Amino acid sequence: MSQRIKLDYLTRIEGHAHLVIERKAGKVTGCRLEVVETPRFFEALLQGRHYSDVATIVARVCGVCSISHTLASLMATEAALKIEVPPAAQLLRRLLSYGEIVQSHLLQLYFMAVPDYLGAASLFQLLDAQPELVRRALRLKRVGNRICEVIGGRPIHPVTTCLGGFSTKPEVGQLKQLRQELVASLPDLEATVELFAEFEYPQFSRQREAISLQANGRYPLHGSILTSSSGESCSVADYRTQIEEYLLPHSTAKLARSRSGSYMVGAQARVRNGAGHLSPMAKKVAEALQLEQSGNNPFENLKARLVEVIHCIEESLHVIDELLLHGMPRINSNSTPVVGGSGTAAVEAPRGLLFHRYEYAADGLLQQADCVIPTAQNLASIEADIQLLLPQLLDQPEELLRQQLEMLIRAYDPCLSCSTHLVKLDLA
Amino acid sequence: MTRTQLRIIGIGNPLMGDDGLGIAVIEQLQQHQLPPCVELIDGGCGGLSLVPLLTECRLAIIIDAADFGANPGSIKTLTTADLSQIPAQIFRPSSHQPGLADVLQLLKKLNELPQLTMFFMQVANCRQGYGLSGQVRAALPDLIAEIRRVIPPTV
Repeated sequence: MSQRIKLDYLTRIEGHAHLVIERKAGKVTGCRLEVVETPRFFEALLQGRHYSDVATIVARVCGVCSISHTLASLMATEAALKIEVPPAAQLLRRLLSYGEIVQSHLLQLYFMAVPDYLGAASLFQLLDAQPELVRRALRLKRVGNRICEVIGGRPIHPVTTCLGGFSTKPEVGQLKQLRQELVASLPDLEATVELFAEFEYPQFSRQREAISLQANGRYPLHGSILTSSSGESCSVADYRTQIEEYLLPHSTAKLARSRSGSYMVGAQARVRNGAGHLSPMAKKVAEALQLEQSGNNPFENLKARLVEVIHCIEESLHVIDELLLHGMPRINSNSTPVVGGSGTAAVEAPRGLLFHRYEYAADGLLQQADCVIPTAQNLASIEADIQLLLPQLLDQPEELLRQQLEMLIRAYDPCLSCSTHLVKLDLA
Repeated sequence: MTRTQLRIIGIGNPLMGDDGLGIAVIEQLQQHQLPPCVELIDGGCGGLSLVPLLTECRLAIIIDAADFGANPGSIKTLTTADLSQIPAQIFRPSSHQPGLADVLQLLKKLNELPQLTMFFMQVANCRQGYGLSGQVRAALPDLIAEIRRVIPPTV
C-alpha cells in the first residue's frame, strides 16, 4: 500500500513550503520540500541598473536580512569597481551585521523555536501564561534593531550605507548610549541561556559538510576566503568552483551542492569552522549549553544561534569601544571607481553564506547578477535529514510526525522569501 | 525610554508592485513641511521590528497596501477603536510572519498600543516588479491629503 503524507504550509518559517513524503509498504520512497513562496525575480530586476542603484533595490529583497543583502551587494560592486573601504567604515559594517544577526537569531529562537520546546502553538499563546518571557523576547529583539538604528540611521532599512563606506557617521553620544543598552541586555541574555539550557533537544546525527567564510583571525563574518569542514578552501571569487547551483522541478527555489553533495551553512557551520574565534563569553555559553562539536545534529543549531547572539553582543561592545577610542577619521572611500568588470562578495548572513556576484558594463550598468542565498544551500541538507529521520517516526500518529518534522525544518530557520532564480517549470 | 510623539510608518515592498505604496507615501511625505514632532519611518516588510516603533510613540499612523475588494486606489481608514472589528483579510498575507495583524494583537494584549490611525489603500496588483500601478499612483495625492488632515499641528 502506498501512502502520501502532505504537510501544507509549514508554519513558523519565513515564506511558505510544503513537505511531501511518499511511502510504500512502510518504507519511505520519496521526500520533497516544495517551496511555494512567491517568486522574486530580483536578479532580473537588477539588470540594466546603474551601479549606484543596485544596493538600494537589493535591500528590499528580504525584510529579515536586508542588511546582509545590502552589504553583500555593496561589497560585490566595490570589488568590481575597485573601490576601497576605509577601516572605520569596515568596523561600522561589522556592527551592522552583528545587529542583524542578533535580531534575526532572537526572532528565530523566541518566536519560532521556544513554542516548540514549551509545547505552545505560538509565542502569542504564551502571553497569558508567561508574559515576562514574551516581554523579554521583545526587549532583546529591540537591541538588535537599535544597532541598525544607530549605525544604519533607521530602525529597519539602513540609509547610511553606501559604496565605499557610509554617508554619515553615528554621533559619539549615540554610540555611548547604544553601548549602555547592550550592557543592559546582559541579564535578559543570561535568562535566555538558562531557558535554552533546560530544553531537551532531539537526538539525531547525520555526517555533513559545513561551509562558511574562513575565520581569518576573527570569527566568520565578512571575508574573502571560503572554507569547508572537509579541509578545502578557496577564494570567494571562485565560489562557483566549490558550489554548484541546480534546479529541481518540485521547488521554485534554486538549490546548491558542493563537490561532496549537500552541505550546511549558518550558525552551526560557522561554529564548527570558527569556534576558536568565539568571544570569551560566547565560549562559556557554548560550554554551559553543552553545544555538540561535531555539527551533525541540526537541532543543535538553536544553541549555536544563541552562542552567536552572545558573541555578537560582546564583539559589538569591543567595536564601539574601538570607534570611541580612535574616532572615525574617514568613513567613505576617496578612490575613483574603475567602471566595468565583475566582482563577487560573500557575507555571513544570519542564516549562512550569502553570495552576490555582479558584472558591469563600461557604462556602469549591471549586465548580470548572481545571488546565492543561505536557504538555497541548506535545502538539500534538510531533505537528506528528513529522509534519515522519517523511518524512525513513521509509526507515530501523523500529528506527532508533523511536529517532529516541522521542528527539524525550523531548526534550519529557512527563509524562502528571497529564494532567487525562481524559475517556473511546466512539466505538463 | 523617551516617547516620540507621532510616528508615520509606511509598510510594504517596492519590488512587489502596489505592495510598495506605503513606502512611496513615506518618500513623498519627506518632501512636505511637517511639524517637528513627526517622525517618518520606512517600515519595509514590517513584522516584529514594528513592535518597538509602536510602543515608543504616543500616536502612530500606519500606511499599508490592502485588498478589501474595492476599486484600486480606494482608501479605508481605521483607528484603534476599530481594531477588534477589522476583518483579518484586510491585512495582506505577509511573506514574513508575524504580520501587522499579529503585531497589533500582541501590543493590544501587552496594553502597549499607541493611539493608532491606519490607512489602507486597495491595490491593483502586487506581482513582482518595481513601481506602482497607474490607479494607485493616481490615488496617492488623495491619500497624502487624508494623512495630512489627521496630523495635529502639535502633539
